[in-house]
Amino acid sequence: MSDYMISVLSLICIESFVALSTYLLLITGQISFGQQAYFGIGAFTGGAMTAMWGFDFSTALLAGGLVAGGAAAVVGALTFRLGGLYFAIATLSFAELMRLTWVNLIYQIDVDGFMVGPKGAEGFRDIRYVIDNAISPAGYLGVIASCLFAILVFFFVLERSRFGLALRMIDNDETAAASVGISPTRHKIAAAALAGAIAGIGGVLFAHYMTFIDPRNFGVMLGVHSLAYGMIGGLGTFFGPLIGVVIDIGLLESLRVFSGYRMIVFGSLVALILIFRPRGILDEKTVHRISTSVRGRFGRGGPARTEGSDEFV
Amino acid sequence: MNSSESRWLLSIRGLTKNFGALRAIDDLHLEVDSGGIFGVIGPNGSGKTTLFNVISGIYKPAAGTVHYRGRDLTGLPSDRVARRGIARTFQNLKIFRRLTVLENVMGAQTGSTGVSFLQAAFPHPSHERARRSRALEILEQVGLADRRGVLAQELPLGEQRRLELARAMAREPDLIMLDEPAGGMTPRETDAMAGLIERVVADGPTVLLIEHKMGMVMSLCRRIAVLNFGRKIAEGTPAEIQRDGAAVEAYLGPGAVHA
Repeated sequence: MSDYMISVLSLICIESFVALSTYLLLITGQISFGQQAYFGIGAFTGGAMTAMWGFDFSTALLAGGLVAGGAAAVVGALTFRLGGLYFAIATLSFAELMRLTWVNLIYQIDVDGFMVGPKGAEGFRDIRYVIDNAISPAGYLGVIASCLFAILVFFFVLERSRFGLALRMIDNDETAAASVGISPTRHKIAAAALAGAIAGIGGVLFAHYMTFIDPRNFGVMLGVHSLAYGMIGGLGTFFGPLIGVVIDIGLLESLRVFSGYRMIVFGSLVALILIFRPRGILDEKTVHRISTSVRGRFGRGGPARTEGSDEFV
Repeated sequence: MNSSESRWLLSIRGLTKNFGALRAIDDLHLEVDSGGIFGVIGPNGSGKTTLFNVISGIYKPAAGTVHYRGRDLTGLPSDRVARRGIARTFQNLKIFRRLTVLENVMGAQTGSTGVSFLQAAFPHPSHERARRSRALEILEQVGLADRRGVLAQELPLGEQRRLELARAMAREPDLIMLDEPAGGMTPRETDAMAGLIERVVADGPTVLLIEHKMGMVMSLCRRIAVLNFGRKIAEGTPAEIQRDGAAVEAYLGPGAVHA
């Protein structure tokens, strides 16, 4: 594999964490423009853990996930009482608040004669854990991919659990979900905490991949993109946001043909999908159709689908 | 707790709910006994659905109390009211459109009591199998068993109403509030729905029924309350209501009795 290929794949995997984080809230009916906040919290926490305080990488991953998840739970508890659009704006505001915090955060300590730590707008340099431990780019891609695989297993279980069903019920109709005993508030806070932790783990991986993070890495565009990934790829299954990431980073950003036009193509794609498939390529209906036909083929007695009504509502 | 409130399954005292200058419910008193079907009728805008929404915790009342089995549930959020054993359907249908019929029912089923949030969210597979077979039984009862794998949004209206009833039944409630369960149905579907509601009540729960189809209300209900402008203007057996001057004038109209 060429170095370029490795870097593209690494970025696809890392971006997937933010996309899945946003997706988890989308399937709970919550639109967040601000998951980059938790990605950033994870990145700074993880970077500080290894580069400043000398912890090993797995402890940094755990800490990044916990701190980001905890922050997301607190922000969620404070903002979920706001309705749809107001919640979306609150997520955006918090993310900008975090970005400005990084711009102003200067906290460096002496590590073996060098000053290490976040230095405001100049960023946080020398997160050298991967280099110091002689991990190759391909090896580190393996680390990222393994973490992503673990998150995908989590989603696989989640989408078959009662908890996952409850989240989708809240998305479908919050009043009806409450009428059958599901607490929207508790479920939304739990979803926010998990989503924050997922973005935070991605942030730790990102910081160690880059070795240098900077407040600009955690701007609004990252949040907007990660929201678009779920909406393009579809909200019927966790493969949806992954498809969105692959289309954006794998095709638009990495192929030279699109170089200058990436944002134009991406924006048009989002607009077209929203018009023709409001819930994305792999929407609930498509996923249901695929899973029904797969079950039918393997003779598990899957229920027959009704005829007709194949148009999209 | 007042002993007169604990005698009743549902006891509503001095309930008032305003929307701006409009008094949707005005000092309403209502007592419902266990068992059978209790009808709530009245003209459009008389406060029937608002009453259901206050009982089920969607709206908070401006004044008054709601007691259920002698316990105060005034102002509790919806999900906690539901966990006390009250289930409901909605006049304007609130099914989980993008979930399958079976998921609609299974998602509503109660967890075992006393388990943690995590245990309830990720239950043991054997519990899940028991749940599934119970959900299929309920779907069998409402005649939707062969539709279990279909997305709820693909059902015709009549079946969506039956799915809402199935979802309420999945709560194993003591009180089911049905808001126009035969709304928009053909006469044949209405008769089938009436038969279904009778069978549900035979299994134990009490039903509070809002319905405009008077033939159905008069034949099903043990007792009926008539609302007008948010107040109860009459209450009694179907025969008493049909002779009640105020009820006939406000809602039934002369000669509407045999509808």
